[in-house]
Amino acid sequence: MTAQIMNAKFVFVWAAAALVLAGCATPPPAQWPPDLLSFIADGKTTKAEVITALGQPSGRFDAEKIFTYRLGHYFKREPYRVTPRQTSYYGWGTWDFTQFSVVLVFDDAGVLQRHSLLKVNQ
Amino acid sequence: MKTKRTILQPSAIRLGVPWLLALVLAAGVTGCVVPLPLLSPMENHGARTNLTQNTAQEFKAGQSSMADVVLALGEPDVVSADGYKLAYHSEKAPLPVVVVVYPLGGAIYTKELFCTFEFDPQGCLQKATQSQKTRLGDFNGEDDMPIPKWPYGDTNYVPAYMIERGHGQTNYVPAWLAGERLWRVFPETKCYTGVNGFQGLQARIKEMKVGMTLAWGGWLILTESNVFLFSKAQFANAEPMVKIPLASVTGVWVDEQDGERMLVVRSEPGQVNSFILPETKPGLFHRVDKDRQPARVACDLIQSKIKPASSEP
Repeated sequence: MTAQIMNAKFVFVWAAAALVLAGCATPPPAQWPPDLLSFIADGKTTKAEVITALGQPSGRFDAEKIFTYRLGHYFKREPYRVTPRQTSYYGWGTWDFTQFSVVLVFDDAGVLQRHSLLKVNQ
Repeated sequence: MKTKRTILQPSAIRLGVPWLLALVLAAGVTGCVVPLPLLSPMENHGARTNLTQNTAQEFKAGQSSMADVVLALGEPDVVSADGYKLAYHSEKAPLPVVVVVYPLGGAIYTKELFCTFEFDPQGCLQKATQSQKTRLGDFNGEDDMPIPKWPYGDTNYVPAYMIERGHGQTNYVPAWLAGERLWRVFPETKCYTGVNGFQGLQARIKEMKVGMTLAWGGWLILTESNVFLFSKAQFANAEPMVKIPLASVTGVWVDEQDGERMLVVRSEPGQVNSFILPETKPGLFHRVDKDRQPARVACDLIQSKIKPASSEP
């Protein structure tokens, strides 16, 4: 009888622990690097292909040789998506819900030469 | 037998003690700093965090290119209107506490870094500078900005500033504005591209998906020959987000619903854009006749520049 009670207690404790730990399960993070960047290849990808796939860049620099995009998501389980540029009241760029910056450098013919993917925010 | 001497009479003590207590309490509370734990240890007002104290020194004047800088640091936070100056701002909270300063309220101790890079027209780095500031309070990096300050605190909105001040008072006029005669600037305008009035807006809201942008906020700029929308989301070196040549406008009207007004501009080839203009009092930067609705003012101006018959839908 005592052994049965001990077993029941044991099962109860383990069940309770399982329930508690279930709440601590971390959802798997979104795929990285995200699918939407899989088409990018130095020496091949063109500006037109980039705009078709990602839309208009959030920044264009150096006579449009450099395009920048922002990537982010609200929740870790969400897939990354291109986010628009945000600014503070003072006009400075802000990075709320945007964790990454994609930089694409093209040559004069509009073909991608170099690119980088940087984490700019926590 | 000696008697105990008292300096103050009992009545004086009765009167004085509450005052003394109040004084001590006031002195103790004034300027009181109470550190409270932050909910998020990386409270940084949305600023980037990928700058270090040596960032500017990692690039060499005369050697590094604009591409080198942007590839290494990512999209800049501010760009000058001519596109030759880039600025980055980083903000971190080294102490994970909120400091409550009575009676001022809560503040966060933060460490800010500013990096600016100046390039020549060929994109070669000329100068890299960096400054650091620790601060207790809200985000406001204007004081330490090495690039020129602009009025209204709108560091990023140089073109709109230029428009307001007039072309002659600045050294640089964006190409898209050169030679244009300015009629009106409406700040804080919401632009709904491809939306036809309030009905179109309702339809757009129904089809909205995650990641889509419903409206762009910025300046509606009316010139002699164009309607521009320069968005706040744009860098100062960018072209306006919307450009509608007045020659292409086939209709303009004010749509009204529940007391709200929306300026609708239809243009060739088959395009339509709607704008909600802020109905605030006119100011230096908002030159609208006092008793008239901004949407009506803009509508009348556009109508006066296009064919007389093309008003209502």
